[in-house]
Amino acid sequence: MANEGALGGPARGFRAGYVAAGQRLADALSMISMALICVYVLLVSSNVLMRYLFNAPLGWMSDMGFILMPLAMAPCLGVGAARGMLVSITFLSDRLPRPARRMLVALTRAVSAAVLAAVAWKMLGYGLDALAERRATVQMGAPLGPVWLGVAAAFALAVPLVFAQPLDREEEVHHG
Amino acid sequence: MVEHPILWLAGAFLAMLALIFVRIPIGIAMAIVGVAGTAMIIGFGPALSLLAVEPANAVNSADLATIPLFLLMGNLATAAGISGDIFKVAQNYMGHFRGGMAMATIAGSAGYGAICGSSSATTAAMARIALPEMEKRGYAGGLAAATIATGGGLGILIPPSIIMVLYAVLTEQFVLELFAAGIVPGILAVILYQATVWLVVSRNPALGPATDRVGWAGRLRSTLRAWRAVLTILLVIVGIYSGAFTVLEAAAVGVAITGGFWVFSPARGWASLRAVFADTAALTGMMIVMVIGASAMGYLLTLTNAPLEIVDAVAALGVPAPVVMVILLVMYIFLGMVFDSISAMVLTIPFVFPLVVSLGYDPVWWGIINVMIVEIALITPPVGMNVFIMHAVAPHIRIGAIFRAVMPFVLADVVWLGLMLAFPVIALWLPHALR
Amino acid sequence: DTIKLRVSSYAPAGNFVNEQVIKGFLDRVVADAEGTLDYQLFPGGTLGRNPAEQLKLVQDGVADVAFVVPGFTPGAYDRYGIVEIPGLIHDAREGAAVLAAAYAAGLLETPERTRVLGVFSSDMNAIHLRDPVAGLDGLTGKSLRAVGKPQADGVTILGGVPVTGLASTEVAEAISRGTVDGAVMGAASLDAFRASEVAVQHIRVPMGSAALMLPMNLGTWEKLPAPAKAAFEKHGGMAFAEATGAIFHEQDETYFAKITAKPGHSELVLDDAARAAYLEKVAAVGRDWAAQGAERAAVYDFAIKTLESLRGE
Ligand code: NA
Ligand code: NA
Repeated sequence: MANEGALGGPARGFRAGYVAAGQRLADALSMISMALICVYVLLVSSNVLMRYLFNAPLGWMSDMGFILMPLAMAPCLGVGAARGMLVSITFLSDRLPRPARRMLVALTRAVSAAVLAAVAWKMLGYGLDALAERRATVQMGAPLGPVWLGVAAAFALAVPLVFAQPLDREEEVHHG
Repeated sequence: MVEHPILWLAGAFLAMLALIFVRIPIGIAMAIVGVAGTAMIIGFGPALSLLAVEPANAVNSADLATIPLFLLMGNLATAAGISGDIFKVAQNYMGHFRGGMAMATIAGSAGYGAICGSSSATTAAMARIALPEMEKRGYAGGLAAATIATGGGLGILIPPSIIMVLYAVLTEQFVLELFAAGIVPGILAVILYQATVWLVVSRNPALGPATDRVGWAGRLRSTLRAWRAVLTILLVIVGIYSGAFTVLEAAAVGVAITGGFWVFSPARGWASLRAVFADTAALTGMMIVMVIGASAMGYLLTLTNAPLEIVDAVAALGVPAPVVMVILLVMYIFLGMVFDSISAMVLTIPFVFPLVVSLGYDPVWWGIINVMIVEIALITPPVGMNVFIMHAVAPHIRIGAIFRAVMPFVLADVVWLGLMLAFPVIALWLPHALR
Repeated sequence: DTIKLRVSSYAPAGNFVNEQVIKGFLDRVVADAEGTLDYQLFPGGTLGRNPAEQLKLVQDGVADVAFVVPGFTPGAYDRYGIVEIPGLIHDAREGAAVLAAAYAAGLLETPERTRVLGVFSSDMNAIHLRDPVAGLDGLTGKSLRAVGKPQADGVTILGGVPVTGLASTEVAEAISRGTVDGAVMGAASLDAFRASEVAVQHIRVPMGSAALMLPMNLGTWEKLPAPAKAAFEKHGGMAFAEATGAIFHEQDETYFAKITAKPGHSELVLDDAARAAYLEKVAAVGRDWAAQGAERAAVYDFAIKTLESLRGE
């Protein structure tokens, strides 16, 4: 099924462009997220090696976890949103006539986006607090404020991405 | 803190269901009801602050951090062709029996489940590998698809398991204990599924005809060729249970090693990497939203005191604990029909968990039961994620046929639940022995 | 009309911090508040499971009061680190007294949007080893698990190699595997995390403690009726420090006795000269700490003076 507009009609022009751009952004986010995870994987693995081979664990490893993992986890929210992975129960509303179903899909996306926007907004405050309080990691004293601001930014990107799911994902009737 | 906590709980649950049935994503629905209900008790500002604290906890949790790692490890293993190696071994040893290819699929899913932490990834991987082999040998599409859909559940029952991680995070248990507790019940499920295949093909041999036997030379060759799987499983499993690695370290080492295999496999390349990354990130995002929603809901229930009220109310009824458990399990089987996978578990943990623990049951044992509840939800109609995945991979097999063929396996799951309820030691023996 | 406070603690239900420290304090306050006050304790993190987020819960008004460890948000409440300095305070009673006095003197940070009801000190960290040594000289080259910079510096000065980044839950495993030769931690934690099964020699030198705090949401405080405020003021501050200092000191005595009494365990008892030598050595850590900023220096000087008068020197 081709991509279709959020409020009905075939995907053309702006809507199709929006979805395509959103999917590209989601791809980029997953790349960033997984690249950070790969860095973390290498650090943890070498820490394990250091511990066994040289009996010299790296003290700052736990710090890297507190910096890398939030920054790696947060973008996943947008990827999940863009790929229609936020689990929803559709078997009841699938029985609705098509126009009503479309309205419902648009509405639920707006609600999801609003909640994610609230999360991003509160995270921004959380990050600014961390900055003001000069929160830092235990071993290296690396500032955590920027990390949380990065998390807030990643959450904020999830908001527009809710509307960038290929519509066939949400519109698809699973059974029958 | 409020009057009539049970009414609050009922109201919150109904509101949640209403939102869910109009397609609001489950995690989002829980967050809305959790924050709105909390706002009614402690005010809007404080309640809204949960939307910062809980997401911060979620992305900062060392336990949840293992989810993308285990997903990545499984996805890389599949991309590197490791799942195919495993299936080949099982196929060479048991394929020649009547129904043997289906049995090999179960065994292969179990072996792959020891690398992969998710059921959908296990299902998708085995669907691409085992289904063509079974169809080539004249297996009935329904049985073949049902075996894969059911076997996919072993991805979460046999550790590593992202569902066990999720349960551990939501109930504050040790991930390691859950992983240890999952092994024996996982083997039990494999045995029950094999028996189910045997019974089904005994009644109707045409469903799974016997095929040629592979000689020992071929068997050994395929076994040796599966060295990557053996090495990964040994390193991760032995590493975790011997205490050589923490769970997070084991997951990281698992990613490093499967990543290495991927780099040296013919599959390496941008397209493969992009698919692996996007899949992992999307599923992780879904888990994070679930955790945020469940946490917000948890606040509401804590503030209303509803879980304790339920515990008191059940205690006042004087119903024996095993009866309560049977009622709960029946409820979950029905919930599992409507819900596709983890939703029933996530939605009910905040108030069912305290009840189960108050009845004197072990929280780790209950965690393994919860994984099976998820497994059943994955394959029961009308909404069964694994069946949908099968249908997506093999559109020529009708969904109704898969659901029908899945029924004997659901019965096997019910037998499994009965055994676990009667003998909790099945799950608890290993974690206690390892302590 | 009674105001019912929501009190959050990440310590598990039944833990002595909840039962003796928090409930003990709040019960005394409630009894003197002329019926204007009540509370509900949410233990085990039921109101917020992350120990590092407890202060946030109070600031946001999710909880009215919470049990907070300022050290869990490194960087933010720097001067509370005064009690972490090895050799400075000698037991939990001194730690609580120093913190309470320094707070009253305005030398410690007050978190925004809160009213601090009381500050206190945890139990004392000591040194625990897998292979017994004959004296403190034996620590040379030993790798010891440490938390935070002052503790790590203390280990270094004693000739050891500090290993940071190990969680309490990982200590037992690390010691038994030989990843570390021992750990700097409290006797109660050593026992709780089963590290007392693998570390058999215990050296009870003061290796610092952790600052603890009981903050209240400022909005909640401002809405309290006069009798409730008065009761908090009467039982908070120095009175609270004294009461909690006694409780944590008692904990120390009990658990140190418990772990040294285990079969095969021993205590390295230091004579006066060795003890003085230890204090002399680690004093450099405190001087280092104080050298970083005027605010730290002020707290440090204040602590030294307070301790002198406490000890009647
Ligand atoms: Na698994
Ligand atoms: Na289902």
